[in-house]
Amino acid sequence: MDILHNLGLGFWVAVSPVNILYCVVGVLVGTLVGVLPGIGPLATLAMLLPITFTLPASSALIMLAGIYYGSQYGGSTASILVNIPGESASVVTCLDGYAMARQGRAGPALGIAALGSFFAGCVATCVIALFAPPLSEIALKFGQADYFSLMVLGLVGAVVLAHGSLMKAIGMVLLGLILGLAGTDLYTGVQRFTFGVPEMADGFGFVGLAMGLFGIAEIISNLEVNGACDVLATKVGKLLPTGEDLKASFKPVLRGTVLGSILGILPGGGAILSSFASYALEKRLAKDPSRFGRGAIEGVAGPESANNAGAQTSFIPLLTLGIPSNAVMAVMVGAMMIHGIPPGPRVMTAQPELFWGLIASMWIGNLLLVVLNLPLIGIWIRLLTVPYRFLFSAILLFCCIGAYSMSNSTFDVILTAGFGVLGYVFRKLDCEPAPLLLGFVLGPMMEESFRRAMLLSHGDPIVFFTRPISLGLLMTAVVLLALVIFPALQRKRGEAFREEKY
Amino acid sequence: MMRIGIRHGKDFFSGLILVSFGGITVLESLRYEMGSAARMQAGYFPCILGGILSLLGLTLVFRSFVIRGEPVKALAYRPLIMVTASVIAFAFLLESWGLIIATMALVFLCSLGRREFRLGEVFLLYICLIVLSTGLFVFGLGVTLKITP
Repeated sequence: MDILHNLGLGFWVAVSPVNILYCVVGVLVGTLVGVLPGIGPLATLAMLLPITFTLPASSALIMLAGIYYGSQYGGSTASILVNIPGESASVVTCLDGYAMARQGRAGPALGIAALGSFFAGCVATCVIALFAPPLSEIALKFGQADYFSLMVLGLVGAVVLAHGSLMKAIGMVLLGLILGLAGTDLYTGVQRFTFGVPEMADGFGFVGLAMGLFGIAEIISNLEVNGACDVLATKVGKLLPTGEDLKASFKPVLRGTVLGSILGILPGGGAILSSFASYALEKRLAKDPSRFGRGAIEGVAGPESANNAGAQTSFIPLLTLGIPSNAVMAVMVGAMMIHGIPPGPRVMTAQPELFWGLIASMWIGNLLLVVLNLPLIGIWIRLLTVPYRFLFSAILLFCCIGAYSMSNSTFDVILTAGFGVLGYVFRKLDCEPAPLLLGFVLGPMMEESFRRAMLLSHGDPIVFFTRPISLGLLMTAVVLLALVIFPALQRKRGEAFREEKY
Repeated sequence: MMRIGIRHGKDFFSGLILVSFGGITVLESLRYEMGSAARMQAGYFPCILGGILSLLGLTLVFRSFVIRGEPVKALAYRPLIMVTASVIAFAFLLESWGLIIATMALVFLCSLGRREFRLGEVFLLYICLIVLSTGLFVFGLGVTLKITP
């Protein structure tokens, strides 16, 4: 079977010593970043992008992917032990995980989180391997108008699932699109929005933008809060869950995996949405919902599996259609472009070692996470006690060096500072930066598709509605928007994100 | 005269910022050739985007007079200024004075962004960071950085 051949190729690439090394580095850094509050996978990926410049493309992507799903593991550790989510998707785990820890059951909670995540990771890897090829085939049939509508859907998805006001999220997307257009217009050669500055010929650097908006802005926000994270380093004890725990967690893990796998593929989806949805589902299905929030293991097993599955399947739109479904995937697009690989359906056929190597490495990464993290749990706990005041200078320094090293340009660093200020101001005004990043990445691509579609249709915009694929995609986008604007669901959305403050 | 108050501070200011960006975009893109719908030139797409953005921003501003919302909490000026200053200082010092001096400026300035500033601790942190970053970036990853003045 073709799939076995491809997976064989993938494993061949993934188990090369170099790639295993980068996988290990990726998942360890990811877990570290997930454990430490105040720095999340998004800022880390942006920071490490310049470093991957010197690596071969497949190693770079393997490492970066490892950081993403590794951070899901790390985040749960912080949530369970300290009630502080190390990163956004782990917020739900705080609810029951920390309650379990206070009952002296931190060990089983951590154990179930790890095992559930591993199971979900394996299944998600299979899902990718099975569904990516047919999806790529479908994508190859897309015309320019269809591509444009797909990107519209992707952005609408990101907006719908963003927190805060819908209008502000749309505004951020538009702003991102505009910022993405700065620089030399490849079609006409005109320098747009460069204001006479020669360094702006290539537009705003992706790395600088991402690091400023997410890294620096986050640091300023954290310094503002000046939070003293009181670490109640709860004793962990035995890590193995009891037989009862396993029995109770079995179905939640399955449900979480399925839910996460599906939600991860949706535009705007990924780890965060999956974990919230899983928690809501488990609570709805439980025989005694009042147990939730007080140490129900289902409240850990489900979301933890879901967020890992979601994190991995969110690679599917990127690898098959070339469209990032969330901000982290936008960074992956940035990484691929830095390595000269334009994302799209041709990646699978033009660079099969990259594609299948990445997929195989995800399975290996999940295995490594279980094998490495359970023994290393003591170190992670000790790391939780590192005060933020030592970390933030380091993060800031790495951001600056990273921004500089992209083109050895001082201007890039100053731009990063500017974006930091902008990002901070936006945070104060409840404007989500993630949609901006997505818009930034998609801006040039959208313009290109729009131009070509209109060129082919001789200036007739109706083409977006007459082509069946394009019409279908646009209608889905409209439905999504309607779902959000409809008040009853708006309340539900507010409820789901109520706890999300990070 | 009826006093019109801003009821939704966050919406008002976000709207204002978005209108400004949208307006600048439209004005700038009008300077480039527009072309036609079938053959779009440089100014076409940004102009549309800027236009929608400005309208959106205006809507937010108007809405902020009508719908009640939370007021904007004051900006934390100290961290904001110190962190920004530290990055800019780093940028200007790196190429002329090298990594050692630039990092010193960065670490000390951004540490001033916190309410407590303990010189000894910051200095120790600086030493660790300079060793770590030189080792990692210059020797480990081969990034070209000037280290000494």
